[in-house]
Amino acid sequence: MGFDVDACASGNAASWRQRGDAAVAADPELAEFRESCRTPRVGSDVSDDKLLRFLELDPPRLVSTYRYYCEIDGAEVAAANVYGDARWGARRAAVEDGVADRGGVVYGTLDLPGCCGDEDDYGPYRLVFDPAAEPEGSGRRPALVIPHNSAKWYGGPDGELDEALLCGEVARWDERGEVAAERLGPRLGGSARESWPAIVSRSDGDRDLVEVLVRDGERPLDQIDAIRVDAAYFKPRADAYCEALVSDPAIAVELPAGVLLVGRLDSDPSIPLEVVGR
Amino acid sequence: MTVTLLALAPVAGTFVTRDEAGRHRRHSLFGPGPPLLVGPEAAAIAVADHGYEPHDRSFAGWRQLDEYVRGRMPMVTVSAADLPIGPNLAARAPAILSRWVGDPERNDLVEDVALRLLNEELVRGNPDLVRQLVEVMSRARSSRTAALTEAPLEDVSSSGASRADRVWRYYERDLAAA
Repeated sequence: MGFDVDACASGNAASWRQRGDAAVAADPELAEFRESCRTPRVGSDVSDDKLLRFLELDPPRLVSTYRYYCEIDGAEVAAANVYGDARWGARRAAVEDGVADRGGVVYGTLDLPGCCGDEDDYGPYRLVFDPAAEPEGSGRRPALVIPHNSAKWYGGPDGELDEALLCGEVARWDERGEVAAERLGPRLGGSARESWPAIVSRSDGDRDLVEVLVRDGERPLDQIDAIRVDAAYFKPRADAYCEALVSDPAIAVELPAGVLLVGRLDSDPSIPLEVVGR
Repeated sequence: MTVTLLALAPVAGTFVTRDEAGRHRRHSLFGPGPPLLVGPEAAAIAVADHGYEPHDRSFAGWRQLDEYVRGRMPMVTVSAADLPIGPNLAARAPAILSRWVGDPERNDLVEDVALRLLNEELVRGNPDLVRQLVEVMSRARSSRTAALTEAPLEDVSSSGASRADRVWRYYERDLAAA
């Protein structure tokens, strides 16, 4: 590895604060948005398949996509799935090598309250946690805030990393509000506060976003503050689960695992499920 | 028409396909509306980022592809008696059953589900929840009685579709639009 990404992030701290101030000076309406983005936790969106697997791990925990595949199919298949794709695989490997955590990174975005996962993007369940709330002695490295989609923006098709660009733009977790203000301010366009969570957490039309790379991203479920899902996604599955409750107990029924997942999430009080909406 | 399955999340029932014209789509067996047109990179992203199984499997048509996807969907065989009921589900139940009161296909299940919940100690120990469940049972009964007096019998009999059919309806989707 040719550079120290943490040193880069520390070195950029003053610059990001200036850039955040400049964005707010140019558009005073951004002040409140920046303030909202100075305190969020991180949200990582996952599919039903991933969440079900996380719950089945011993102990139950959030893991990276690479580790998820390792649990199912082993390291060789995991590497092929995550890093083998011609278009994105090498780019992603370059970024993860650049932050010295290939296979361990959990990707996310800043999380503003009320934001759910997106079924049509990274997945309907949003796992929310504070990457800075580290148990003593965890040895985890701090989360990094990346102003763009990391693989698309900083990784090259042949596995090369634009180190100079990444080093010049990476931010510490503490500067997340400044990055959000500068990068996402132009997307606000006077939009209502209710739309901020989606603007902060979702990709734009070019699949670009402000990304959070949580190195050593594995987290036991008891460190996850919320598993948030939209009621519109959750309700049909909760209905199906309730219908199954009254099938003849003498006759075993076949239930889709996705429906069983909903029943499990809703029936275990230790799981911090938040169903948002009506 | 040949269609190709490129990536599949079996538990979620979501998958990415490519048709003969090279159009890519993301489908959801649960979700409302037709499949979404997506970019050609969607399958690779689904595998690398979202945990989908990679596929490159062609089918003679949507029906065959649909059957394959359904066959890959993991099913768990359980007895209703073994399905857990926790405080979150119990608290959510009155709202769910209230919706069912106005649903002619589910109205007749309201009492069954409410009674199943009332068998649970955690429900019986919550007087407010008991009151809500009894109230929703009463509304379901009134609604059914009204339907019986107002509609010809043959219309009401349509609510007798099997429970399994109703559960599976969540997976039904009209791929003709695709």
